[in-house]
Amino acid sequence: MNMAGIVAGLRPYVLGLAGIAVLTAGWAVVAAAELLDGVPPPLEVFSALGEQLTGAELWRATGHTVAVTASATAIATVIGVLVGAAIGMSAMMDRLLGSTINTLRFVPPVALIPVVLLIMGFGSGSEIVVGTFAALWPVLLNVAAASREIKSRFEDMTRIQRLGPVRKLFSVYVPGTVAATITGVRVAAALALILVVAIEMLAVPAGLGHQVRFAGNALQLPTMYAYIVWTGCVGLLLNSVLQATERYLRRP
Amino acid sequence: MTVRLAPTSAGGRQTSDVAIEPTPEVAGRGSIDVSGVGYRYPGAAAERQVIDDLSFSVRPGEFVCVVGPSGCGKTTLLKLLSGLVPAESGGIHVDGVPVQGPPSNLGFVFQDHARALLPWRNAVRNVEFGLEAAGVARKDRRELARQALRRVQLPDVENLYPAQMSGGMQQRLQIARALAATPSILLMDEPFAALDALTRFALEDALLEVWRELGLTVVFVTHDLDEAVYLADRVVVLRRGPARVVRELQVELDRPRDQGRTRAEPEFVALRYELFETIRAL
Ligand SMILES: Nc1ncnc2c1ncn2[C@@H]1O[C@H](COP(=O)(O)OP(=O)(O)OP(=O)(O)O)[C@@H](O)[C@H]1O
Ligand SMILES: [Mg+2]
Repeated sequence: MNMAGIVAGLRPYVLGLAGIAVLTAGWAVVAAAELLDGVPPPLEVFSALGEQLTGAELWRATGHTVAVTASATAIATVIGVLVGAAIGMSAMMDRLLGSTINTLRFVPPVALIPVVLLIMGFGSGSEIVVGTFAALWPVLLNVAAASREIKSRFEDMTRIQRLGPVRKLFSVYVPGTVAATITGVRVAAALALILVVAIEMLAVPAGLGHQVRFAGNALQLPTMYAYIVWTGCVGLLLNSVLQATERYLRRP
Repeated sequence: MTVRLAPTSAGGRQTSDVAIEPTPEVAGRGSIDVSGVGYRYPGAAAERQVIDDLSFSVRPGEFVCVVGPSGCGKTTLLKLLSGLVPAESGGIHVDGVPVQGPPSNLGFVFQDHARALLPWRNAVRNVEFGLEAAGVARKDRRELARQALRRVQLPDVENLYPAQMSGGMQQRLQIARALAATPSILLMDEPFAALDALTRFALEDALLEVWRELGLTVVFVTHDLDEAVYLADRVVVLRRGPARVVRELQVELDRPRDQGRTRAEPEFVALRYELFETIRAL
């Protein structure tokens, strides 16, 4: 590969990093000029992050948050696909569940946190429940819309072909909705992560959210920011993996 | 795409294989009988009767074109014939049996290929889809699908996805899928309406060739009067609101027909004129 090829290959990443570079530069200026209280300079934050990356605590917290987020997303995906497909494929189910869903989905997941904590205590279970509630809607609504679309588009064709219900499900609905489902899952995972970190900051003594709050309480500001930056990195990684899956499924 | 006018009949025969020929007990079938049929879409008001007291019949192996003003109920008629919607009154019989749902010996080519082809399957797998549903054994599917693709002169595109094909190729693909299941009746809803004239000519000839070889019964809806006369043994004219047969025109032009010669024949011109005047008078 020649030099120009390498440069062209790296271009999207360079462009992606440009935004981060500008943000960091702005942050460095703000910190150097001491415009805002309690904003440590980026160098301090990055060296704190480096320190944490070599220790065990960050990885344990990351493992916890990622595991809980993945569980919540997985549960939300199963429920969302089943219920979404049911209301998308059957007008009767849509009438039965439609208004319930449209009421529930406007309940802010954060409002659920105190209730869930009261019922389930300060453990991973509460995190998963709140994360699942937030992650459910993007999957459910995407799957419902996609299966509704498939139904109206291919209803006549599948009847002419005399497809049985099982074949119709697996040869038409599943392949026809899988890409939209993954898009829903990608949005869902991001929401689950946000809610999991939030409930960890508020109450559950584990994971990245807890580390942010713990460092903040101890007035270790560089460490606190290091965890915030790291949480962003985890989210970015999660999104990239799901985006690649989505691209793969949406080919050709 | 390559547009072939008037496929050579000798060449077309040689590439075809015996396996897709109609089985003997199917060959003689394919009659349609419509008597006194009425239809109104569910929930529509009484005066929105789409079809009322409509009667006509199609003999096995006949090529019938249906023409009529836009919105008069041609698509609805095909849906009734195929059992996609139930007649409200009157009776529809295919091969003497009342239609209750889509019959197994009936193929349907939709006006809009986007509503028929699965975008996540390539061409040959789209044709196989019809065979899977019909319960054809896995090992035979690929060969039958390839034969069907050759039959519509679409041999080298097996691995292309619908989105990578032109509109004409997608319509051919749809026709190939319908043919692969060896129907005795083929219902076609303005299948060539969205195509340019040259592609349309090529597909008309390919269709006539297949029709002749397989002995199909074809009901072909079109709004193109030239196309109707060129293809048909008989043209059925519908009027609007509610749809009813106002005229049936027998077409006795020689076969095989030829895009240039047939359209220049005085009889063609006369039939076309008569058809035009009939529709204008509606
Ligand atoms: N799903 C539907 N619900 C209610 N009315 C419908 C529906 N589909 C069609 N119609 C009505 O039935 C009538 C006939 O429609 P149809 O599609 O059969 O006409 P067409 O002859 O095929 O028209 P075109 O030549 O434009 O394709 C129209 O007046 C239309 O408004
Ligand atoms: Mg129509």
